[in-house]
Amino acid sequence: MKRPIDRHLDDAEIDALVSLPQESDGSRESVAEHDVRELRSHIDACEECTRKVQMHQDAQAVIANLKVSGSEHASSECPGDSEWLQVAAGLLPTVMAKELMVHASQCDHCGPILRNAAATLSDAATPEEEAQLASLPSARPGWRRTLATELGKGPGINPPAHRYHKLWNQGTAWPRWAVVGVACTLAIASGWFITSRLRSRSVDELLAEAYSQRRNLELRIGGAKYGPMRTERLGGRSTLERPASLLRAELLIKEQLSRNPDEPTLLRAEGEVDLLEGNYDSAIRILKRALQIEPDSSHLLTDLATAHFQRGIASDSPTDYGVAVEYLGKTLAKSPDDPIALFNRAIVSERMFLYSQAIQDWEHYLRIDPQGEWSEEARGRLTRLRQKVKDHQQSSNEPLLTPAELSGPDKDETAIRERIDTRFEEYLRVAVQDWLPSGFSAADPKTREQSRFALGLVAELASARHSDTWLHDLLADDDSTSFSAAVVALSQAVTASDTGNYELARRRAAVAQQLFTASGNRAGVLRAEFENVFQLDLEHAVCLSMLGNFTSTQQLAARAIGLAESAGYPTLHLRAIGLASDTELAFGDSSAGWKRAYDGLAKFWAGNYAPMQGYNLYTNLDTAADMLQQRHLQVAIWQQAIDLIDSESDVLLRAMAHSWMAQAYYTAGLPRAAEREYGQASRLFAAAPQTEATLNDRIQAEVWLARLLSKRGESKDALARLTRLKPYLSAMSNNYVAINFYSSLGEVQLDNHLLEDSDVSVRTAVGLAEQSLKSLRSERARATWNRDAQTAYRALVELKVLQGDARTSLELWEWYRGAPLRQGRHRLADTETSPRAVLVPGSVQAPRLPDLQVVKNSLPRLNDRTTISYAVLPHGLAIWVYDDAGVALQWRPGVSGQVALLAARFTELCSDPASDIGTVRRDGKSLYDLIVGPIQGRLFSHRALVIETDGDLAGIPFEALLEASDQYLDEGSSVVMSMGLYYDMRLISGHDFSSQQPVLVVGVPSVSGDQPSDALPDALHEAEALAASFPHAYFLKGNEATIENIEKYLPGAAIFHFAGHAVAVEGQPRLLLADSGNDPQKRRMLDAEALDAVRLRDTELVVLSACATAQGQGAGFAEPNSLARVFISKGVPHVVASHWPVDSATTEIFMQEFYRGLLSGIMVSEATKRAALVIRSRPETAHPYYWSAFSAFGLK
Amino acid sequence: MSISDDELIRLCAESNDELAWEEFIARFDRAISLSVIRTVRQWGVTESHVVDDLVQETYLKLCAAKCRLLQDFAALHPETIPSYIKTIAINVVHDHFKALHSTKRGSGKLPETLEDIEAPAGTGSLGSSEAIEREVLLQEVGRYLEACTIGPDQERDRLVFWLYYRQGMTAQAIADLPGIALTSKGVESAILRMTRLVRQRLIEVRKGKSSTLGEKGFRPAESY
Repeated sequence: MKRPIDRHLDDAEIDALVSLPQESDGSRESVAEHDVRELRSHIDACEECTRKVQMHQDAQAVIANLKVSGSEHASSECPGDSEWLQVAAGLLPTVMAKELMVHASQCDHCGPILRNAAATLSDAATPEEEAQLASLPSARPGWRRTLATELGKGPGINPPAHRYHKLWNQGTAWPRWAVVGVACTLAIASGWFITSRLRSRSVDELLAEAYSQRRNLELRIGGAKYGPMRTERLGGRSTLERPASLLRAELLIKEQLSRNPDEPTLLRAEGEVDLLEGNYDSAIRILKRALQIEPDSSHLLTDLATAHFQRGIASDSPTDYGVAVEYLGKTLAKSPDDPIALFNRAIVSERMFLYSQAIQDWEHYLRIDPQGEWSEEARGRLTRLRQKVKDHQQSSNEPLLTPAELSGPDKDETAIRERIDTRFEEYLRVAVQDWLPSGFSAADPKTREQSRFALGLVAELASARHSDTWLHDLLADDDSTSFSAAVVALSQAVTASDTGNYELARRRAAVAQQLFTASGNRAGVLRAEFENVFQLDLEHAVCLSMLGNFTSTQQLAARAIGLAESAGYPTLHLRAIGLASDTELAFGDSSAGWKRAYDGLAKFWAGNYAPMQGYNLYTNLDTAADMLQQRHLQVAIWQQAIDLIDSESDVLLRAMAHSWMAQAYYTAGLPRAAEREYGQASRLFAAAPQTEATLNDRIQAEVWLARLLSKRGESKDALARLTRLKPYLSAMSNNYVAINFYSSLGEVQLDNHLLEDSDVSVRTAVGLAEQSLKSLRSERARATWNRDAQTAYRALVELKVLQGDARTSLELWEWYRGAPLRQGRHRLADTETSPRAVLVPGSVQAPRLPDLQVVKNSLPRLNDRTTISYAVLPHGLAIWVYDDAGVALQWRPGVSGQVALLAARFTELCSDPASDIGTVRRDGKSLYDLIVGPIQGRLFSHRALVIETDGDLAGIPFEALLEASDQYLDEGSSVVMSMGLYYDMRLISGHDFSSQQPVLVVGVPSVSGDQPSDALPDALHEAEALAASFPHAYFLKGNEATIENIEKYLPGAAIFHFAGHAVAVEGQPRLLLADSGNDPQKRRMLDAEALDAVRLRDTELVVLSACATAQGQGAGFAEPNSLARVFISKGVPHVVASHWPVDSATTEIFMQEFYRGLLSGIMVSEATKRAALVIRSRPETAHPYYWSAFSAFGLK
Repeated sequence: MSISDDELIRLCAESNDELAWEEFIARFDRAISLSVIRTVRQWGVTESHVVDDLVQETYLKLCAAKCRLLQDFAALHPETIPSYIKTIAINVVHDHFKALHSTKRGSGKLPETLEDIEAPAGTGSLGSSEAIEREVLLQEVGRYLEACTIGPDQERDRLVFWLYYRQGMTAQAIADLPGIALTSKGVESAILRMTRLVRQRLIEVRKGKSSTLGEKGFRPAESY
């Protein structure tokens, strides 16, 4: 802004004109150079300011005259000249230095010396000095290396150093340049030799030595000899304690990394240094980077596990222990006898209360390393662990004393009291559950007498030792007629609660409460009320969780825990902890749920509890591990859970547990172990009471077993096993079990090359699946259907693929992809036969399939796009490419596993802004070669590229795949992700977008109101800017962004833009909205279910500018509850959504560019592509994390 | 992952590891060379080979007797190791030239002592009118500074003012001095603040004199 010429000068402006030192950063007080001209213009016109400036200039000139013009002679007070160097260098004590500086400031002899000393010590060099520095021999790397070698020779340094000195300065008959040249060559050569020698031997050896010298980790690192554990204080540790070997390793790593920054072995060593120094976050970051470069390295996986374990200890984060078990599980899956991984996993497992796994690992370890110091440590740990488990089992399994024993004639009262007190909670429980009813309603007078004696003893102990007078008070009022009925009802309530029948528990507690009230027994009323309230609270909590009310559910769960704890009931307390953990897990908070279950397990193992209490907590851990896809950890969890309950009489429970464990083994890639567990599950199911449910479970286990057998080549046995099951099928009413059976049978028959039989089986399975589809009414039901029925469709498609029929296989595949559009209303005439009839072997022909022509009829219209459709089939990956030039098929047998691994890794790399860009590009190329390369001849840049993903490919940011020419995929065609042809046919793309269209903009920058930690100011800016650019925008901001308002305004909007937070709850993304007032029953999240009731006929574009909005329960948007899919299935032709948690600031820019492109008249996919290009062109956001986060979905 | 200066010195001393010395050279060679260049120049010498020799002499001095000097110092004052190494380099140069001069006494032009390399004594010898006038001015400004500086940092601020205006040190050099505890920007701010105050005081005094004596063109005037 221009300065008014008539304004008088202020102080800052006068300062500027009299040339005072300026603020370094040009702050407010300083005046910019160009403004000085304006000031002078004013002075020229203002006599008053001219006079002012003149006065200041005169005064400034006086001040300038203070400067000493030369050096005076020293006075008697002046210190020695050499002192000033010490002062300037800061080598004197502060007080003395200050005194001397004050002297120097007033002394025209000492001041200049101090000034000179300070100038000599200054780090800033003039250009001339820089030039001289650069010309010195010491600036050359070779010179430095040689000097370092000489200096490193240690004692007696002087003679060699002088020789070296002479080499440079005195030369011989050789000219100086020749000496220099030869010396440099020698220096470089010797330096290379030394470094090479060090590199080849040193880093690992030095680290191993450092570890052994001062072992501060329980876990082992590769190559390290045994060292006793040293307990150290964390923090405040003197760096002088660091062993020299560690310091040397650091230097060597630094030196080598400067030349090879991406060398995984060096990165691993760097991570190990961080581990040894307690920098666990840094260690994890570096080791992960190394693992991205070398994904299969056992050494890296083991170290990464150690880093997580140590961080778990340091930050009290038990989820880190789980990560550690998972990494070690991966290592051991590849190298089962890896001693270090076994040793480490045993320790980590013990820390996680996975004692069975720990014992198993110690035993395994000692078999492969029976001698030496490490094995001594292992043996000691194993012994202690076995004892611990044994003690716990004994204390839990020892039967409680009966009333008869307690009241017997030869009893030792003191000993009896001690025995009761060590398991007081259990005695109190049995007193309520058994002795109260028997004491007041047993027919046998002796039983009544003994029970009452036992009750009195427990009541006395409770009062005296636990300050719990409840039982005493209860028994004090036992003369009412209704008392005996009341205690029976209370006993039933507690028993029902223990067995998980919470509804019955609540009802019996209510009865007990009434009866105790009638009898005037206050203590009884309170206890009955507690049972009632406890159940109600927990049930209420579960109900609220189903409604999506996070806060209220948590509050109620916490209240239940508080009640149980304050009432002094450890078992109930433990159960409440388990239920609270359940609630947290149901809300997708794996970390909180995990921590809660872990704390519960700590209590469990520290006390005397029934095994079921522990089992329930382990199932919580399993849920958390499942959410985090930690399959190896799940295996360990189930081992422990099964060991706890394997002595239980409930065979069905044990069968189910083995079945879950088998599933865990299977998903962890351990089919042999899975087979064993399915076999055990099947045997237990057979031994359990035979109901239809048991039969279903048994058949499921057998089917899995058969599939596993077939996978490992025993297809004949598998077929025989399945064939034996056929007679049972006719007795079943569960279609899903039958679907699974027939589709598995089809697969196994295919493995046996029985193509016709296979065709009949899978068509039968598909027929049953289509029947089930008719009855589906909700997204949730369809998700279940898809999980069970997809195998049948995939097997059927594969049959056609194997027959080489590109079009028919694609017709079938697209038909399957469009199944959700048929749900609840489809009639497949050919499968109208009763399911029972279908299931009776030989009773009917397998259903015929409909005559599918959708692909064929669509092809002529596909003249501006080419579609790639992927199908992950039982024995490989099918890739179709189709457009108006026809359909082509590429069949890639056996690559599904490889594709899945690579896809997961590539997506993870892309979603991590810190990942190495070189590695991202390497994997992007490999993945391109696998899944696009085979059909790239059919792709042309003038056509849009439509991609129908499937399974593990669903999360891939296809735009970031790299062609052989180093071009990203989206540098040619624009890319759009499609649900499939059936969906696309229903979508109608409107006219070009314009700023005159009605738009609903929702901006929710914070979800926690007054807590700014989650604030997204960029999201708010983004929403405000967007609302401002559309004259007909309706802007719901902050608290206005309620579900009611969205339901109200969304139907009228052509564009819906959401900017804010998204969270995954039970694996489904939900957009977080504002609270809808005080009603805890009201939702505050927009998800698939909430959208069910919203009409979206006029909405043409939905932009979900939040984290991971394209993801569903699995990985990608094709998953049932992906928000992107839900919008498209409701007829919205264009959706823009994200693959992963996005960077808020970059997203704001992305959206600006996107709408700029959109309003210029280009297609949604093209606008997405151009916005990505803008982001990619900025060096700071060139990583795919920033520009490939958003994709276009629906139509192009 | 980073080795501190004192750890590095320990490693150099204890392990005689050439890699440790490489790191030592990488960390400190610039400081050593720059100190040597500047000090050599003070002795009127500019030849590079002299600098080169003295840089090497410095390293020899540093690593003598298993780096005893360095190790002893590092153990007590790890935070000032770089400054200490610079002072060793500077002293090596001075020792070199002193020794050289003692062997060539009377034959060269090299100055004898550190004082000799400083600028010649000021022209205003003690008792001259210029010297008396300057002394009066120094006392006057000193009084103004005393009067107008307040707060816990007043002593430091006055020290900064004098080092800047009287001794001609730069803001950065002042900031680098021990105990100042200001960045160069902080030093500049302090100087700016005090200069304004002193200048204002000078103007007021001059105005007072002017109104009384009618000298030097200062007019009685408005407030500033």
